[in-house]
Amino acid sequence: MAHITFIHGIGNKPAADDLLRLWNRLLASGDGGIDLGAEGITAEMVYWADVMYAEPSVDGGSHESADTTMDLDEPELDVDSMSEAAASDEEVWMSSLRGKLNFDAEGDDEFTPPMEDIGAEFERIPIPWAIKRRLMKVFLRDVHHYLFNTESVPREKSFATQDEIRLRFVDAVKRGADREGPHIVIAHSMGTVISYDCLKRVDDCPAVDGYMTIGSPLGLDEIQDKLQPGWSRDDGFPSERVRGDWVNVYDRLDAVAGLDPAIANDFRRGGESTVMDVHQSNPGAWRHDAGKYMAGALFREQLSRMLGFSDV
Amino acid sequence: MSEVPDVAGLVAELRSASRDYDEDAAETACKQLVNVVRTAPESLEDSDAKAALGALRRMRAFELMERLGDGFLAAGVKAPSVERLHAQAVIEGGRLDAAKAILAAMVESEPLDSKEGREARGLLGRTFKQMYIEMGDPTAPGAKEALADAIAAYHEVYTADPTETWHGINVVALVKRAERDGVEIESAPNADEMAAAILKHIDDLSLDGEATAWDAATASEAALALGDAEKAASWLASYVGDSGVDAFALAGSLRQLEEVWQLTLDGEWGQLLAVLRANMMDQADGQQIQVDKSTPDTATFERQSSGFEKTFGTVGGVTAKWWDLAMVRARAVARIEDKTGTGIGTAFLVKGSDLNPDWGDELIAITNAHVVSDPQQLKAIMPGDAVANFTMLDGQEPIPVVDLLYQSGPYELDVAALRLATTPADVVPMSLARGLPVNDGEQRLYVIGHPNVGDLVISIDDNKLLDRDDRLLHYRAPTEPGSSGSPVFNRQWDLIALHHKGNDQLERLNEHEGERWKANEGISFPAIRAACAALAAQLADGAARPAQDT
Repeated sequence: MAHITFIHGIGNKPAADDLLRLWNRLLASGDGGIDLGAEGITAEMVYWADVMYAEPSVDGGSHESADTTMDLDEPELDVDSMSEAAASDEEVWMSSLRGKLNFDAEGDDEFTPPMEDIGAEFERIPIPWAIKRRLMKVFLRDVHHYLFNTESVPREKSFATQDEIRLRFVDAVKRGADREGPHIVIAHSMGTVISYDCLKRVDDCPAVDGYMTIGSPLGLDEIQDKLQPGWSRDDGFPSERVRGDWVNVYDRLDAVAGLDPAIANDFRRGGESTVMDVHQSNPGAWRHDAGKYMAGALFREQLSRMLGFSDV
Repeated sequence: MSEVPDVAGLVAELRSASRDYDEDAAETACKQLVNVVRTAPESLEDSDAKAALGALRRMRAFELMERLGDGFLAAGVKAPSVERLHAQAVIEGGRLDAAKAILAAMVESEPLDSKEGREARGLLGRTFKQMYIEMGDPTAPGAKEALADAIAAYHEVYTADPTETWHGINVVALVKRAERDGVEIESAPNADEMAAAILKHIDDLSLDGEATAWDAATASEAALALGDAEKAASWLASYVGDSGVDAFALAGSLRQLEEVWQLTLDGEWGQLLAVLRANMMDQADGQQIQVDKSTPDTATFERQSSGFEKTFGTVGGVTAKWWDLAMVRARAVARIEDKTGTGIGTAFLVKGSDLNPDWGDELIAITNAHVVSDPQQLKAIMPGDAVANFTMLDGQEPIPVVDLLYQSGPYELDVAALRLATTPADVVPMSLARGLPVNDGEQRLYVIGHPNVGDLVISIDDNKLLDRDDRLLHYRAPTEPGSSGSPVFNRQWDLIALHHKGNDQLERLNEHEGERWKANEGISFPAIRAACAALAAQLADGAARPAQDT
């Protein structure tokens, strides 16, 4: 039977086993759920929250299922210091991405723009401004640390962020490759950057049969630029290590993916658009939630197809 | 100097036995605990006694719980909480007169303003309530008195403290029941006013973020009393969605709705029952649930769902539709009987072509070779002597077995594929799983059958997959003789195995070969399917019908 390698996104998470159990449950829940264990499908979570955080988040349920946000209850992220400490090219990169993410690091976290300002050009989703600011800070920090291989010291031990997370992802893919049946990678949020980086740019990484990205920021130029050498607009598809389809599920109102949601044009294969971009409308104000993506009918249709359950 | 008895260690063993549903281990620990307490009563803390009884309650081992409680009380344990748990075990064991005597004495000794005093009065009310229900006839001698005494016991507590809403809602339920039954209760309180007050109190608690799961259950019942379906569903959803609500609690709620409120699955409020049942089945510590012809069909469920689906569609992983699917599966399960009507085992229907393309769309009954076979295996009956009785199908006469299409002996696949004289109408054959569940210690499975060849039940008690290989599955579920031939399902209600035996000394699988344990054993349905397909391939090659594998 099939095997799935999950990789999670930004922010702190519950302990690895709990997170995998949670994702399995979210995927199995409700009408049309896909109960991996019952289907005989094994799954592993590439867990990297501990590279960034001292200890797992204790509130297991709220991260992926609540209609708010992930666990951002942590010491204030000092992205200004990050900018100051960064070398000039990093500084330029951060400044550019920060502009794209539409927040001012020096601003007041409690500030909420007047409702009339919350329009398409200023704020795409009506979620509390403070929450979005904090989310964007976490996103900026995590993506920066990974792409610049910054040292992270969550506990007494330090990590070279990219080296460590790459190692974990590649090891998990190797274990999956040893199993029978199709092997599919499902990546959420920042996990899509990590998985793409490994599938496209790490020689040691084995091939997989299918690739699903959900809530991905891979459409952002700043991220694509840092995935070179390897990435190019005309040949960005990781053909070397993705034997089957790449399905990208996004919600235009997802604060992370919505910045540049459809990616087929940016990750072509020999100049051809082959990534299958699927727009799914997630419920509620907070659309970036992995649980909401996995509960969506379109996501489940595509996963069922990739597992060989249906011909959709 | 004598060794100090390790009470804490024994209580830990009992807890562990409770988690594993190991009744033998629980009994051993109980015996040791009683011995220790008898010889050294001072070694038992009240909290240990309470924890030990609580562990037994969790595994629904009420007889053992009563015996242990007896042991504690005989050794001089005086804690009211132990007395109360002991009384609860006596009630659960159905010895209502004994429970009444114990609780009446407790009520005498425990004041109304103490926690245990209120609990004792509540349990006394429950005892009278159960007496009334078991009489089954409101005009029976003593029925009216039992109902009045139940109302009085609950009402005394609620009047003294209106925040005791559990007592209050029982007054409401029983006054409403008295109205329906035409039993006149002197100076009965106004049930609607009480229900409204209870609902308001819990709404207020909820606004303050202080409402518990138990408050949610009470509020659901209050909304039911007031005829507010949307609110009843909404509060029940909060209740069943709470991680602290175990099968014991759900069973109590189900009993209240079925026995006191007299709700039925095919009635106006049937979805409330369906959601409770579905969530009980999703608990590791559930129990057997009996199902019968009164269980509504899919169309009825869909009709009922209109008012509830919005609320229940998002509760946890288990929805009313999930329960509905269980009922669809149950309708395709039959009791195999001989021609005198004596039950032999269980069988179920699959689409013929799912096993052998030559069998086409015909529905084939599957059971064990040790239930029906030719030549007879063990205590099996001959196909010509067997009928399939679909007990869930209203008006359906038992259907004779007319042919044996395939069999594999009890020490191989233990399967018999039977052709029936007719196919019952409106039955959906089992959906076959694409594969077997992963062996990760977290997989639940479900068995539908006729244990002790009695009524149809869905076994959900500690329904855990223990181990498997490609041919056999080992699992815990309370199957009894007569369950032979039952279908075993994964959590999606897809067929994964054919149940064939269970005992305390089953040889283990995989790397544990040679070791033995207590488990049930089913034959992998993919293995059965492969055997039937091989048979079809042999026949297609022009071979004579192969000798049956006995």
